[in-house]
Amino acid sequence: MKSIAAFIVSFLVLSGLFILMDKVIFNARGLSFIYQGF
Amino acid sequence: MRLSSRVLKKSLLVLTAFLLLAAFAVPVSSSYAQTDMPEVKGGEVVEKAGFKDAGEVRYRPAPKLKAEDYPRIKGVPSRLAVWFAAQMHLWFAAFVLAVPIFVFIIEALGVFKKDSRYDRVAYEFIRVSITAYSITAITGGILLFSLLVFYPDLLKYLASIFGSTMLLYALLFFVESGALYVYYYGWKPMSTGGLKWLHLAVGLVLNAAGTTLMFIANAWTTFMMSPAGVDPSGAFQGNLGAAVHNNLWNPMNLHRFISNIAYGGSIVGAYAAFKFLSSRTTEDRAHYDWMGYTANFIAIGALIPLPFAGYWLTAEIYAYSQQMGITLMGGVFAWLFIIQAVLIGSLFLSANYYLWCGMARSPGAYRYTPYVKYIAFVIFLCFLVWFTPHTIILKPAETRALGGQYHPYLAPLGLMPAKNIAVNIMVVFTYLSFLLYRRANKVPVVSWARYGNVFIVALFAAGIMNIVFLGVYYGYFTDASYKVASSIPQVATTALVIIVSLVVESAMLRGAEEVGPFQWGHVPQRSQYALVLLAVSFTWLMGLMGYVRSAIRQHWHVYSIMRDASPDAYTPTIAYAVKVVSAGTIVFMAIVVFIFWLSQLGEKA
Repeated sequence: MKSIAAFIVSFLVLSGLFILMDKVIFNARGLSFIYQGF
Repeated sequence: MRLSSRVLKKSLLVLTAFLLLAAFAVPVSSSYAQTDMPEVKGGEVVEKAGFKDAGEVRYRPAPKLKAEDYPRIKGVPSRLAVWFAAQMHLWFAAFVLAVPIFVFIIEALGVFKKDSRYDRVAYEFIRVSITAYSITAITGGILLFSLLVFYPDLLKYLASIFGSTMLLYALLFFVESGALYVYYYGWKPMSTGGLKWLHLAVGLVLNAAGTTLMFIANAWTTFMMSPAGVDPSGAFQGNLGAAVHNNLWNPMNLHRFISNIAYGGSIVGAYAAFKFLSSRTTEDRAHYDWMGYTANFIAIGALIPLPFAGYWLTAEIYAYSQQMGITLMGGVFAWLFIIQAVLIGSLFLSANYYLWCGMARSPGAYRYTPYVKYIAFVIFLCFLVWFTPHTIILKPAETRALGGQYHPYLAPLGLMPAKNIAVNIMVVFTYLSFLLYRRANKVPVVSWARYGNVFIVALFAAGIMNIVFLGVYYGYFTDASYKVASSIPQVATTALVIIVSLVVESAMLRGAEEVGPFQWGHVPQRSQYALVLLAVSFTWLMGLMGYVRSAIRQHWHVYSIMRDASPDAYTPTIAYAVKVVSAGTIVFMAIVVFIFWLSQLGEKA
């Protein structure tokens, strides 16, 4: 039971962090050249 | 005495090749600069093409050639001759550039870990490459002669821009040769104390020279695809840096650097397999098993980031010229990408298979072997997605039966977002195979091991969810710019899953108990064939994709600047190209086997 709870918490926190990372990368100024190229 | 005569022979061979290269590079460069008469500009006489002391420097436009400008030799197809020579040279060059990189890394590891096994393997690696080095120089000479004979005007035009880098190339080749011979023949005399550090420094010089050589050659190649530093007529503007640093230079540098390491690892892995299968003693089998594992580890370590470097190169090709990009992946060459997908799938499957077989070395592996079938299933599924074509060549009746040009359910899998999802998951699961292999013989003793495992599973699950979400949402429900851009967070997710789980796993396995003694050499013989398959697939893949990259210039020598007017200025059929590359692969592999045999002969002597 503890393991399942630990898994759910870890999964939710990690998913949130990944989504945050996606947002940061999409908004990174240094990467805007990628959009301009297309 | 025998040693010094061998050194002398090899040195003379490479030196002769170098002198030939230099002897031809100089007149080609200077003849182009001197052929024209002076012209009058603004009331003052100026020389054309690069004489600074005679006034303003002017360069000629790219020549407009006619079919009769191309020398022909009866019975020798010119394009095929150059193609074959270039391909052979590139395969060997990739091998001899890569091997010193990881030999240096392994030697350094041996010094830091004070483990003589690393030193023995590193020495054996470099011994294999030393014969290949002579062949690289010979094939380079053949390529240069072929270009001089069949495409002299192209070479003259390139030399008028890159003449100075061609001379630098020849000089660096000399430095590399010197460093390589000191590195190889000085291995034993410089094996202790301060001399060992000096030996490592020579290895560093060798690698710096080798890598710079590749970057210089990449500048010429990428200039032909994405010319820069010239005006629309092809006249050089005088800024060499701009011509060198063209749009595709850095993506190509990165892609070739990584792929050379993977390729070198795979060829040395094949060598280890060859030696393993022909070993007669348990000690030798254990040694070559370890060597094969190390080479495979390096090959896979480099293979994992390779698709992303390739993606960057392709994105830059699209960014430079939409037409070139569409020819590459949406036009005539698209079907070669299906073959590429099959070969890359074979690479991943054989690499994973080798790891699964390698679990037989660990007495504790039985705890993890039940999971292998699930990993195999996922990797195979990704493999199927990767080689699902988008546009299918159909007869009218088949189109009617299908209800249109595209398959109603499978068509979305033919697009890049699906393939990006597949490749990222394939990489993550290959890493999972490695993770299981790594812990197969260990039992963690830390109190939080259970939660550590839960965390790693959650990390993989969240990472895969993110990869799928990015691919599906941005790939199919937003505009094209986001579709391409979403590949970056996908790659970042894959990298994070690998790095974070490796850190957690390493902490978990600190002080771990071993289930039983780890047994090098206790692997099934079939695992060794996976190593051979890896080397053959890499070679074939490099040949095919190298052809595609070069052929997307279509009827241009230098894209949009210098037109190819030779009778060969057409795109051959895919079947023809595949036959040429396959024949090249067979010849190359035959020479590689010959090198292995020579190396064995040297051991006996």
